[in-house]
Amino acid sequence: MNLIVFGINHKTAPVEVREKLAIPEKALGDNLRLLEERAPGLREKVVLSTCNRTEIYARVSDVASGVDELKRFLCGYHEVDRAALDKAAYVLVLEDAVEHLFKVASSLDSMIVGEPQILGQVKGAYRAAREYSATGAIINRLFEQSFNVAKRIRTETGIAENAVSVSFAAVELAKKIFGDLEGKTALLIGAGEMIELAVKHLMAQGVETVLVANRTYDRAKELAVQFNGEAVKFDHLHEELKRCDIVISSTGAPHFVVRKDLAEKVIGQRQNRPMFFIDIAVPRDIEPSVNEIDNCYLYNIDDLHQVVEANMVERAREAQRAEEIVKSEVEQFFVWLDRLEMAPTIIALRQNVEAVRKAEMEKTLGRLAALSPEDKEAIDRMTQSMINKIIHHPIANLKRKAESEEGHNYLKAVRYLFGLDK
Amino acid sequence: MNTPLIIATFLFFLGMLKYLLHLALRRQSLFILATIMIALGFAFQTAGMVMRSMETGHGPYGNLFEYCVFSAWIVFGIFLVAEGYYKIKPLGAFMTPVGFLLCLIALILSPNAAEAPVVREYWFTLHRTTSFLAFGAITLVFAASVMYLIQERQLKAKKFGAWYHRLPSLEILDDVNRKGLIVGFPIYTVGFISAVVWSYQKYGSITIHGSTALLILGWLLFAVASGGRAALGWRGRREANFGIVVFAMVAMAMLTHLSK
Repeated sequence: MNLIVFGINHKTAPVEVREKLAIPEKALGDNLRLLEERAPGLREKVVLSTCNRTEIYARVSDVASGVDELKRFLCGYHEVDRAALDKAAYVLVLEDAVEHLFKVASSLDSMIVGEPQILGQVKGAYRAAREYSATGAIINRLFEQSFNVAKRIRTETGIAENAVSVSFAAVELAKKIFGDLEGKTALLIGAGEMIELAVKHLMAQGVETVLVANRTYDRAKELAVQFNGEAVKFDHLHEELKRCDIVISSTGAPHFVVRKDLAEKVIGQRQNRPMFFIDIAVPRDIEPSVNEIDNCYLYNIDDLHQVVEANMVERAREAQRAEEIVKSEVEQFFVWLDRLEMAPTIIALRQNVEAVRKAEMEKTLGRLAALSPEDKEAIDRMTQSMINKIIHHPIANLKRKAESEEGHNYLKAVRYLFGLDK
Repeated sequence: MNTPLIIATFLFFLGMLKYLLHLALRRQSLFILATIMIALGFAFQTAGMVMRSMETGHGPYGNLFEYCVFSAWIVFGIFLVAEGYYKIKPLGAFMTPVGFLLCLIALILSPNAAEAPVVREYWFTLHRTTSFLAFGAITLVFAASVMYLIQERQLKAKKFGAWYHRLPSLEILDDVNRKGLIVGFPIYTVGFISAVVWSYQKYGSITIHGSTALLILGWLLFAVASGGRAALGWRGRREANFGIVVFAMVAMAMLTHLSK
């Protein structure tokens, strides 16, 4: 029994190859059916296809022939050049295959580590395979465990905690200041792509009221409609500021729109409730010394980039911890698998030696025709107890080791030494 | 010190270490273990205090040793409630050392923890119970204030290191500070008034000496901090600074007051 993953991903294959091997969700059933026909060596299988990877997870009895069938199928089905496929594809077996799936599901193998979509895609691929009855006990267990691993990593490490884009960084900072953004008010001064993106993220996090100010009142009204907010006259900014918890500014003004004395006054009116200023404009809209006022936090575009950088470092550190979790989960999977394989191995071992005994008995007794039935029975019993004694220790020790980390190696050794896989 | 109290002190020590390690390594398992240790320690300490009370025939009001055990018990109790309510994971690293330190003092004092005559008077008991409760609340305020100042520093200086990622939002920390003050101040005031009443009943006058002066000063600072919040809209860094000063003041005053 062998588990393999065969595939290509964004690290091994250029987009020209990836797009050819990509399988649209609708075609997945068709693909699985054909795979069943043309690659019968694949006993259980799941096909995972995203824009960054196409991978086939399978249980095979023989790795080499299974991979060969698969390659032939892929070249035929996707019309890919065999040489290009050979160059880009990777095959991982047993522990490596299991580890790979766990990493993929928990987004450790993604282009952006910690991105949330991949788990859904893995779940989708598994669901499709189950619908077409392409999976069995082992692959089912493997995938279900991979979902748990992903969940565990998400809750126990911080790989997905921190924002890795500038507009999300603004949201993250707002949350570090205000905790919950529910019911907060944001003010937009000016317009621009990034400012609008940031507002969308803020609204998704619960920001309730959006005020929009612009040099031209009509433009403000347009934007306000877009965010379901209120347009504010630019000259009234001074009065409106005190309602605002978050101020995002991105005007083309050559001078400061919000000065320190104004911010100080507003904070007083707000009874020191904190304010978060985000200044995306170049030249800057908000006087830098606003950051010195108690309960005022001012971030410019460079600061936001700095948050993103720090978060990237943090994610990489957390990913290392996640890998440790993956390792221990891989071990757990094999403990389960060994237990599953234990009984068939022991039965095969018994049958194997019993067959040898029977064959040899017949051969010998045929030549010793003079023996009485009692003597024949005595020899039969003697050979039986001999083989029982010989295999007693291997079986007992195998059972004892089954729960330990080395169990898998012992199982492999027994199958190999007694030639059980032939 | 009876066996459950020694076990409790040891468990608190382990719990504290695990909270500190969790702060550094952020392993979920460490956090869970730490909370279990502290909760177990709390149970042992409760048992130990009940046992001792049965032996001595009075509450934990006999001497400095008992005061330390009692105030540590309150600190850990408030900590467990606050952790369950706010789910601020680094709280343990800042609050449990205070409780453990009190247990440690008790451990050192314990060989000399001789029976002291106990004053069984209503006002005096009220004074001590409420004062210890207030001290527990101030310890919580202190832990939240330290975390607030660290996080505020990170956000202002735009340093996004380990602290930035580990500590919760300023809003939550400020809220802990606020609730701690709002609950703590009236209790402390009751403790203060009951001491005055008791002293009046007993001696017919109020004598102010070193440690009582410190306690009164602590009360004044406490009053300014909570009054500023309620009336003047103070919050954030200023209140966090107050939180730390009030804690230092009250802790120092209490230890000198009790060790007389």
